[in-house]
Amino acid sequence: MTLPASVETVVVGAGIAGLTTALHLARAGREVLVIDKSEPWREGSAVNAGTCALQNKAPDLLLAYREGIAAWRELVSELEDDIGFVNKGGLRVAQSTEDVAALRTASAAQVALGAPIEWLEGNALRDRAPWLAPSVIAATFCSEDSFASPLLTGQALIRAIRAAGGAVVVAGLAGQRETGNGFELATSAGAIACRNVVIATGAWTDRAAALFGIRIPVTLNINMLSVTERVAQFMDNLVVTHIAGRFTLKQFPNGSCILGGGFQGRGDKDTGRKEIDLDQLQANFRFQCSVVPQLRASTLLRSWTGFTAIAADGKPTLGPMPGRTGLFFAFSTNAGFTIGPYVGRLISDAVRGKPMPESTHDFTPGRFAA
Amino acid sequence: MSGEILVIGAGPAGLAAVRTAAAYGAQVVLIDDNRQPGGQYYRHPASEPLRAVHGDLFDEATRGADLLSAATSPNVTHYPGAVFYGFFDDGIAAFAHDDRITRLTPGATVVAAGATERPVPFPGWTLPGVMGAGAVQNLLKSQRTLPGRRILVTGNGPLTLLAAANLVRCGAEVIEVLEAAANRPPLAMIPRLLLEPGMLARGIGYRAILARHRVPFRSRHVVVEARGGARVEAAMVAPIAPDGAIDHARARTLSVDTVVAGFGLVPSSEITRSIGCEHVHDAGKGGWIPVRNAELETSRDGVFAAGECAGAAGVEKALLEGELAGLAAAMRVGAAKGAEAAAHRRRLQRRLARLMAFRTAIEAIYRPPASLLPLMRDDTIVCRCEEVTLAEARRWVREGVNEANSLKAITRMAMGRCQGRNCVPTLTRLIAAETGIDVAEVSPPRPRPPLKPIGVAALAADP
Repeated sequence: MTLPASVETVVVGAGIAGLTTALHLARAGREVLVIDKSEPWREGSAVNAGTCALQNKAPDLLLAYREGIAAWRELVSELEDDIGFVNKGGLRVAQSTEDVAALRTASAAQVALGAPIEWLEGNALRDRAPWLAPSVIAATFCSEDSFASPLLTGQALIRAIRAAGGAVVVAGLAGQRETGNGFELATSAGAIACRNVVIATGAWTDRAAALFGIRIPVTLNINMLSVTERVAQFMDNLVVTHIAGRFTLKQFPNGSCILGGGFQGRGDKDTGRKEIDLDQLQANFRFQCSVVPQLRASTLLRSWTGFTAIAADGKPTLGPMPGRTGLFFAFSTNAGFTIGPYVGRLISDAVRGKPMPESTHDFTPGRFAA
Repeated sequence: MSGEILVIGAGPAGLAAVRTAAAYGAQVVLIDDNRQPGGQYYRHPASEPLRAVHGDLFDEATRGADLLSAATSPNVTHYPGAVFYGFFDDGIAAFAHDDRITRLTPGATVVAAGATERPVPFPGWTLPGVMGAGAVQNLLKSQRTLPGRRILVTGNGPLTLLAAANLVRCGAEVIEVLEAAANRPPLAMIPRLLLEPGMLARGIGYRAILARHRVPFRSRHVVVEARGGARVEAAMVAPIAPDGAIDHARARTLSVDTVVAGFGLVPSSEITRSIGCEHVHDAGKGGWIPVRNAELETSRDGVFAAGECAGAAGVEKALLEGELAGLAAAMRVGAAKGAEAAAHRRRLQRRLARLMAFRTAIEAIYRPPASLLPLMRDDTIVCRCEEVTLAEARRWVREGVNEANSLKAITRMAMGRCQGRNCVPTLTRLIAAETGIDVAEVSPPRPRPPLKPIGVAALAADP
């Protein structure tokens, strides 16, 4: 497809942050084009575990993630197509006395911030989740924990953007020139002029920022995920996470279980190479089965890996770049799927000239400036 | 010697590779997901020793008896019931066996993964009572059971004819046998047919069995629908015009309880595709096959491919290729060397060249109609695991999703238990038809380990 000569706003990156930004812009009647270096919805957002959980997030970002889950609920009502959003809550489990102490501290901090969290142990825990291993001695329940189908969400967003007059195309950003009235972008599909650019490139945000002479230091994660064959529903649609980290588990409505948590594969984001690390994958499975023994009776259909990047200070990078009119960042950092629709709303507002809320001022892309 | 040889698949090609490599003194690890060696071809009842097979009906099993013993050679370690998991970094191969994951780093690998039946969806193809020609062979060989009482055999290729002949010999009432191809050798191909008089005679023999039992054999005909409630009760059949169009106006209804739909085999190239070997699309050989050199080595160093997984072309080719790949692998690890091994290799290569010339004639005889996609209606299931209909898949292709990986992600086709074996050939053909390109231009999704489902218990087992 050939690019138009110019468009008001180019969103770089067709993941959850970029597509929700574009959806809101298009629905507000703005001209918007989403470009992606490969097929849209192919990387982080498409291949993540679909978790939209609150209680596995650090206290300093908890409120931002809570906005994320609220934005997911709105998204469900705004989209014509089903995106498999399930909000039945989640359990964060503890398996040792150290775990229990850590869970008490973490949940107290979350409760202090207003998160709806309930402490479970003994019979109350067994009654709520008889499928948890006896080694799980305590858990917290959070009614906001949810999940969505990454497979369905991307197509639903792309269709909605197109229906609202926006476009989503394959074109890799290769360079840019500031024109005084915006930007001229060089892409693998040709040049395009625009007033605004939104960088929503997830794990590649450091690379895209560098094209604008901006430093956003990140560390790369190569998360492994696995899906089992369909089995009868047994987890009550709950999302399971672990106070010790590196654990997400849920059963999708079709019966398949998604095992995630961030055990690391191998790969290279510049070549796109992604490989399973068998030792890590088996450690992943042992950990999962130690919490939910019933998984042992199922079969593994597929494992895959996805790139995600964490900013050096662990915070999202959101909003206009100070001193660079028309340049915006929509980089969620960790758990970008959970927070993505909120990022989309914020950045689409910012592009339309609304000031960023005060709660996001720590996330300014200017904070890394040399 | 440097390393052991991993042979994946204990069918004719795999066993021939094992026998040859072991005879040269190589250490061989043989894995196969069946409990017994032999693959689909040398399949025999679990309860009977091999010698008990009856007469010439299942002569393939008797012919395989000495080959089967290769699995028990002293320098061969056979893992029956082992599911190949995948190749990982640093040349590690892993498989699931006995509820744990076993890893090895082979000096050479022979992939002999066989083939699966080509899925050709038509209305009613998911009804109980519709089965493949390979499935019928399997049922006859291992269960000694007929699939039904009144049987329609339809499809394309020599395996379907063989299944029909075997059904007749086992006493089934075969109502008709339909071959979608014109089934006439082009004149230029006749000399090639004469290269293998024995095989030609066997093919003619199958037709003679049908004639003797007065079973009508119709070329350029195909099933267009299977009908029934809980199982097949009738089948609609129709002629195919010379231009490939299905002539629904001349459709007839047959009262049958079984439809054997055998449209040939698709090479199981998942293993070689999963590790990024170069592949080409070869319609006559059933689809995507690895590119190999004269020693049957793929584009990945030390990985050889033999038999049906590198081009569906029958058991004789599988046996020859297995022997050649086993020899080449033994040479690679240093077990076979010198003039004797080189002469053996030349002999096999010459024999294989003649056989493949014969096969091109067979492919010409059985060249299928341009497309069997028109057999489907909007509500025909194309992906059985995820229950995706033609209308659903086609809707997305028409919306511009014309790349197999994306179509898979949206529709969930190829994401179920069969890992795409029953739908990817249809999916890629659909994309080709809708976008007006050749099916050879539509790459199938790259398979990811595990290539077949693996028990979570095995993965979670302690190291």
